[in-house]
Order: sequence, then structure tokens, then C-alpha cells
Amino acid sequence: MSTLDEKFSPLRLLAALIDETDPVLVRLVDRARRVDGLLPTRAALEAGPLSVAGDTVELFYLGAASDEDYLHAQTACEAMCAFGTTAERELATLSLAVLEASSIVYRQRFIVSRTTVEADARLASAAAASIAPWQRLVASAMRATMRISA
Amino acid sequence: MSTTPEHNSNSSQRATASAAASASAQVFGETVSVATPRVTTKRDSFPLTQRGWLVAQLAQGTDGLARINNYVMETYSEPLSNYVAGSSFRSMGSAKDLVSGFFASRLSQLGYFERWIESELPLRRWLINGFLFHLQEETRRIRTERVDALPTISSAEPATSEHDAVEQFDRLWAASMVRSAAGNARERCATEGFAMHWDMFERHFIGGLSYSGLSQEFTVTGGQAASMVRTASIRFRQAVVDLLLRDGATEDELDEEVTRLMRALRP
Repeated sequence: MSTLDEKFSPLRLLAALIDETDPVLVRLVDRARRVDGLLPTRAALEAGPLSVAGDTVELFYLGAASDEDYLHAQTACEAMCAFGTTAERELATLSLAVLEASSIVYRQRFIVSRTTVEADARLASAAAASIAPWQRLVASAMRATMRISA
Repeated sequence: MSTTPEHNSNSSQRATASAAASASAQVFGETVSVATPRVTTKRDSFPLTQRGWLVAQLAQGTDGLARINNYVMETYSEPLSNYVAGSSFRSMGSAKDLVSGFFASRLSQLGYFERWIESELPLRRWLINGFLFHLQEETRRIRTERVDALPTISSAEPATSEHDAVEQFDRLWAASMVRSAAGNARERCATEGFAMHWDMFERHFIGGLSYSGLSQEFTVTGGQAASMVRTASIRFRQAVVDLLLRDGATEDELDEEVTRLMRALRP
């Protein structure tokens, strides 16, 4: 195996200091990592901004949502991200990542991510911060993202 | 010739007391703990609180000065040597000897680091300025001794412009600093039982492997991959912060400093 010096790219490493994804999601990852704080619950996620389009589980977990439902939920998440309290912004950011996962799985399309790298980072963070059954959806989306980029 | 900070003849100021106090600062968008020396001085305007670890060492007298000298030689020898090796000064002798000569002549000077503090320059900038001045002194000395084997150095002008030298040295220093920070972070991860986390961090940020790819290669979930990379990434961030603070950056300047170093490293 090559040593760090041999394969080393200072620029790439320095770029690692700039978080790849939404800082709010990174904050949630840190909280999940340290297990020392509250994360949005399943109930909060399902009753949050995603629910403006209807039954969250049926629409986005089971895949019954139309394009209009995705748009409606996205708008609600973004509004809460912009104007909510700290806790609401966290819930909305996580909801947006879950919505992204649903869109990748059921529509093979990104909602907020511009690249597969960005989507991969967003989904991984969401996977760290969300709970079952949504974690399974996010994990499926991560695998699907790899296939999309391949 | 441009004036170097070494030409300043201000009397040296001595930190009279310091005690390292723990503090937290917003660095790269997140809160990290940093050692912030609490220092009192003879002069209110003396920007000691901005000079971190080195100032705290200065206040500890001879022992502290020895630690500073060791740190400076350990940290700046490589980029200074690489700078000489890539410049027209290389014909003057071996890079190692020239750097050693520079350290010998400057680090023994009374008040050398106090003058750096007064200059308000990053330490690397202070050192490269001093090093250029030292090289020019050496050029003159050799010429005076009628050694005529200096084909590449003109007597009419310095061998390189200060601006170019500073840019080139920034690039070399940044590479050396990041390498050193990565080594420190890797070591810390290994010590704390996070060797695998560091491997994943490297595979992701250097190798470009996605989190999804990491989860397959290391047999973890995507969420675990994100958490483990983050664990290593925080240690790397802290290692970079430590080195930038030692170079004289303030907490407020860290983001800007990283951006500047990234610019310097771009091909």
C-alpha cells in the first residue's frame, strides 16, 4: 500500500475542510455521532413539511407521489429552512434530504443536489441522522445514485 | 531593495505573563476548542493575543525560546529548502546548508520573535522575508570574498522579486503544512482507535470514493460511513487549525487563510 506522502494531494485534503454538504445536516451528523443530543423523530419527520402533500409514508416512502407532490413538499421544506426556528430548520433540511432520496429511488432524478457527489454526501448525512424506515429508503437511494453515476 | 521586517529597529517587547486558557472559536463553520493564551504586556497595542502558542512560549524565557526554535526548524526547514532548491539561489550552496545558516544567524538574535510579533505578519511571511534578506547578505559576502562562481545571480538586482518569492513559498509551505497536519491527524486517529476512520477519510477525500462506495468497501452503512469520515475530518481540521494558529493566524482569519492556501496550491 502506498504511503500518505506518495499518494498525497495537499489541495484535495485542504478541500476536505470545506464541508461538502449542508452545514445543518453536518450538525445533525455530529449529534448522531456523539449520541449526545436530540435528532428529529420519525413522527416529526412524517408530520413535518413533507406532509403538506398528503400522507408522507404513502407518497414518499411507498412511492405514490406525483411530480406535483414532490414540488409541493420541496417548497414547504425550503420555506421552513428559510424561516423556521433552529429545530425546524434541522427538520426541514433532513426532510429535504429524505425527499431527495425518494426522488432518486422512484424518479431517478435529483431535487436539490447538483451533482452525484453532492447527492452522495447529502444522503450519507441523512442516513446518519434519520431513523427506520426512512434510513432504508436513503440507503436504497445511495445505491441508486451509484448506478446513476456509473 | 524593499524593506524587510528585519530592518525594523523597534525595541523588543517581552510578554510578561501568559496562561493558556481553553476557548472555543467558530472555525470553518463549526465550534472547535483552541488554546488561547491570555497574556499581559507592557504595551496595550501589542497584539499578543493574536500570536497564540508562540507568544505563550516566549513568556516562558529560555525554555520557551528553545521550544520555539525547535518548532520553527522542524516546521519551516522543508519549505525553505524546497524554496531554495527551486530558485536561482541554489547555485550558492546546498539548500540544507543555506537554511541552516539562516536559522543559525536569526534564531540566536535577541528579540527576533518579538520583532515578528510587532510585524503582525504570518510567521511564514516573516521567515521568507528574512530568508531572502539572508540570501542577499550571503550573496554580497561571497562576492566580497571574490568568489566568482555565481553565474546566475546578477549584482544589480535581487535574484527574485519578493512578491514571487512569497507566492512560491506560500505554495511550498501550504503543501508542507497540510502534509504535517494530515500526519498529525492520522496519528491521533490511530491513537484513539480510529485508524479505519482515517483510512475512510483518505479514500473519500483523496481517492474520491463515494460514501456509497465506502459503505461497500468497509462493510458499514452509508450513515456509518458519513459519521466515521466526519470523525477523522474533525481531527484533520483541528490539526490544520493548530498549525495555522502557530503560524500566527487569528481565529477570525482561519477561513480566509484556508482559502488563500487553496489558491496557492492550485496548479
